[in-house]
Amino acid sequence: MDPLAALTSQNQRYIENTQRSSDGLRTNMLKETKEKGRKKSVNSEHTYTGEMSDDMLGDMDPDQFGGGGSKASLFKQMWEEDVETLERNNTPEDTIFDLGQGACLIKGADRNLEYEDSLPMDSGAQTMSERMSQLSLELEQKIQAQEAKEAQEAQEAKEAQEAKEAQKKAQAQKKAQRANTVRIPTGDEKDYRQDNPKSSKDTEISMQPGSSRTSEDDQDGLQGELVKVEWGASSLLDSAQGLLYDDSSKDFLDVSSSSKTNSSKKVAKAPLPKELEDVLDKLICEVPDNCSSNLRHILSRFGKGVLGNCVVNGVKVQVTGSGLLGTLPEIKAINSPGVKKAAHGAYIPQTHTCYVDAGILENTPKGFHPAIYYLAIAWDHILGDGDFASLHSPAVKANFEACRSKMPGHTFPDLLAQSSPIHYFAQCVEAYLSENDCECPIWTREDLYDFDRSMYSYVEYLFKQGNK
Amino acid sequence: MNWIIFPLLKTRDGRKAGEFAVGTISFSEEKKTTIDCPDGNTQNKLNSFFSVPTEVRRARGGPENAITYEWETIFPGTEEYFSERLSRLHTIGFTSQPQE
Repeated sequence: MDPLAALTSQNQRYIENTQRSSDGLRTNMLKETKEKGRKKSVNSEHTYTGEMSDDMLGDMDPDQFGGGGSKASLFKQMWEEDVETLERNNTPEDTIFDLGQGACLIKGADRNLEYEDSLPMDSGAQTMSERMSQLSLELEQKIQAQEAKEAQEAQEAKEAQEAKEAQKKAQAQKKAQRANTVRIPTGDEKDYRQDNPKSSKDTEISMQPGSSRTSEDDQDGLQGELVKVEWGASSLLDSAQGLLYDDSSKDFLDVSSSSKTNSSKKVAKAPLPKELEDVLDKLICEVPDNCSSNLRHILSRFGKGVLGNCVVNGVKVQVTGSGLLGTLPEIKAINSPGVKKAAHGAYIPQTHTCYVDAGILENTPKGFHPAIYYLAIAWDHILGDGDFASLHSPAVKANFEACRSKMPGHTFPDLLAQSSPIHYFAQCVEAYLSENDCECPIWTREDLYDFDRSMYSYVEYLFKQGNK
Repeated sequence: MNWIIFPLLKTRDGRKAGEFAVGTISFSEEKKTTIDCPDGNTQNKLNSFFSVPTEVRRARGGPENAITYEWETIFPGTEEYFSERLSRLHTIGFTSQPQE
């Protein structure tokens, strides 16, 4: 053998051994070989069947842990054979450490490979460098292709979005052109419509068809009038160009002026149920046609059960001509001389008859509604079975006494209520059933709830029981 | 009798008396109505509220004949007027409680 060649081969082996003795490389190689050896040993016929599991065994190095017996030595032999086989069969793709030998250096975490010119390079390293360059070229091509694809997709998405926006705009324009006429429902504006001559004409409001209110929505039966206000192409609800404000909207939104004068209610109301109409027919007698509907709707608040009980016990409601109540003989007998403002209602216990002045049905009464008030007295009378129930009811008496002694949470509505439990009870019922149908109400439902809560609860209970 | 006046506050469970009193009010035959409020606006408001005539309902008749009422105007300076106006303080946003 040529001594020079022998020397070169010795040098190469030396470099190789030096490189392999490096701790990092040694550890990595050991881990790889152990992993592969373990997998192989599991599948092989000579699987170690000791007490330890395979996983635990895989982590144990036979060199370090030794072990004893024939099985351990067999395993060690098997492991060494595996390592040698792997070293022999290693290709450039398997690991980079075996190919470059001494010429391969690892720098940094990214493991960039650099080849030093001073060191000799064998054919394997050259093949690897060619392979690396080829791979890098392929990688660059792939990256370029991916970038081109992404750019194309982004452009397509942008075009689709633009087309969508254009379509939306076109739809919005169409909607604005197709403005609908809708009904403004009942509520407070009813009063306004009656009092404001401007609104007595049919006014119309244009709203977008997608809005929540349509003419079909007005199913409550309470009539709203057509209100039309031309707001232009864009809706007030459209905030795309900022909120739009139109002064014409105040024509139907301003209800403050109507709260004071809500007289002459000529708004047709929802028809009452037939059963309730039948009971009211029996209860009400001698009523002018122009007052009939209003009186029926007011009295219907008592409920079918209570009204039916009144009818069974012979209660009648009679409407007298406007200002003629004082001419009745029963009223004439008790009126004090020099009365300036006559009453608008009365109750005659002997005949169970309530008298109501027609004037309060044509116009809004002041302070309270006599029709409700005196029917409440009649109801109190029939509940008492010959006497007034409020005079004997512990609940009414207790509340009356609490109000009289000015206990917290108990307040008399007015001087009339202070006079007797009959008037106190009737006023509480009137307040409970009132629905803003008189001017300057003495005692509203809210007042009853806030300032005489226990009486509110009692009246509520009575109505629930009466209308079961 | 002295009455302490509280502001009415709107709560979830209706109107209720506020925590801090705005003043006191009392009635006597000699001095009539005396209102004592540190706040000038409240004092003026209460002064005007307790100085205007008001219409009240008077009960007429009874269970033996007919039950009806009459409207009557009452004027400041009487205990009845004072009591009536005191029970209607809620219309201007106040309420009263008797001083112990």
